[in-house]
Amino acid sequence: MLEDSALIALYFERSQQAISETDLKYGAMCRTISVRIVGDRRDAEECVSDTYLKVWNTIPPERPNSFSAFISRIVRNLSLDCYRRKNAQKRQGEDLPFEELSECIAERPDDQRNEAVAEVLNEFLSELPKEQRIYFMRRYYMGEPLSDIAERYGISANSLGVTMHRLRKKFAKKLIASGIVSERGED
Amino acid sequence: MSERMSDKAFENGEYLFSMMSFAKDEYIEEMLSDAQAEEIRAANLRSNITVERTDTDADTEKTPEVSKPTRYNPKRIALTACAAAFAVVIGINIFSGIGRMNTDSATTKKAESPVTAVDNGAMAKGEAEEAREAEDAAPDTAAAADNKGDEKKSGEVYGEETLEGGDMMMLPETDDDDTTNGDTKRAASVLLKADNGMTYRILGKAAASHKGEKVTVYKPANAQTEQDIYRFDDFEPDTLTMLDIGSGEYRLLIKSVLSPSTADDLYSGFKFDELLHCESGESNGTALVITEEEFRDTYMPVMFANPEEMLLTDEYTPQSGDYSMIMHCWLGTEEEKYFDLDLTLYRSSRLVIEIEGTKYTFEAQVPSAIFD
Repeated sequence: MLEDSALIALYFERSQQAISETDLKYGAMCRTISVRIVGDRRDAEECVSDTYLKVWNTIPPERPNSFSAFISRIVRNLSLDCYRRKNAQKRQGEDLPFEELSECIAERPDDQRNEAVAEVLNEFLSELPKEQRIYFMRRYYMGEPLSDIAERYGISANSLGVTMHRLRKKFAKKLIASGIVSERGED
Repeated sequence: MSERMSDKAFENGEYLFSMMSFAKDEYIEEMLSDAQAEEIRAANLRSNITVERTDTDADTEKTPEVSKPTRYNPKRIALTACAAAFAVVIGINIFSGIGRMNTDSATTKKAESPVTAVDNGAMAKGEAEEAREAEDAAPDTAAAADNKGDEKKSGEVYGEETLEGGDMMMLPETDDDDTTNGDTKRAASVLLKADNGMTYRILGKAAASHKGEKVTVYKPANAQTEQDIYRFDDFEPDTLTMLDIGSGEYRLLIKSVLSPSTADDLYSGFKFDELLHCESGESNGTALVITEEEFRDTYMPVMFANPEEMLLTDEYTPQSGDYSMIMHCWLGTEEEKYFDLDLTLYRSSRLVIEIEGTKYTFEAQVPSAIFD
């Protein structure tokens, strides 16, 4: 498999090989992320195709520092868009950890505050020990089930559950301390 | 997703989930990294350790042989071993009938071990009942829970006499089994078991084995004390040493305090989250209503305080003076067995946990970091 720098070079050369090489290296990851979010393989495949197209249209001129982060973010966002379209009427997302994350905020902030929320999120992540940050990201960025995370990192699911609970509490405290969200009521 | 989840909660959760896309590239890369996963996995597997204590005939001790180094992280092993030992102490004592404790022994140096689990000597003597009971006391409190009421060897950790400048110290028992085993001179041993199958058995004062193979335990040339200090080749000298104090007695010195994550490991490993509940308590004389969640998230970490992590819980930690906490706990979901757990973290860095009159004392090495 090509190094990311070589992969990006192919995009700059406008070589069709860029897509096949991207699929070879990142196809599985993209499909995994997308399937978890949209919950359907066919929809996920569509999202992955759209991802490749978006990458193709973005590079150049953009030259991402981290191709893996770049492409994972695109497939994630496109999958979330797809998820919202498909589930506008019927609330789904049974496998996504929305309920867990909902513990962190009592009210959804205005979209104008997204940047501030992102800042708090990254500050929160920066303060975590590496392994906890990774657990948090795997769960809430990848949407990975706890059991899979536990298996991957050799920790008991039970212990991981406790850790995740703690992390959510910390994140909630951080959001409240930043003034972005208010303290939870009794809801 | 719970069916009870409200639309609002759903929206809030979905919002934060989508906001995760704003995580920095470096965190995404880190999360995707197989190398990082391997590193964490290895560390986690090393940390899931249980501790057993066995008694072996001193006659069986042999000259140590050199072994190949392992990939173990000695600090994690040592920390978790201590944590596990402590968990066993609690588990064993709780389940084996607290009233049988000899509280007088709390002030003696010849304290009984917290890591009693398998008494091979008793088995060899055909004392089947005792052996069975000892086996029952293996470091799975869930298993122990099934055998409530059984008699098991239990004891205490007591570190009143500070060694090595106040290191955290676990004092494996100097057992009194000489009196029950005739003329056989016996030396205690400790078995460290990781859930990845690796085991270390520390035999008496000069030998250890890993999966049945001897590993080197040696006395450093630069030992500073008159007493023998033995090191294990798999452990860094500043994390684990064993001190021979003569007469077949020795002390295992673990020179670190425990972190909440280590406590977490033992917590789930020993199934305390299913067995140990806290109903009420008081902190420095102030009554507390402690939920189980708080107990798990806040108080357990305090019990295994890491100075750095303590800063995160400083709202519960006095800036000066001693920190004491009494918790009225109960065990199990089927049979509620209440007990009081009295914890005092002294400014002098000594941690004393008392359960129904039996004290467990640990010495930490960095008191100022805990409180300052």
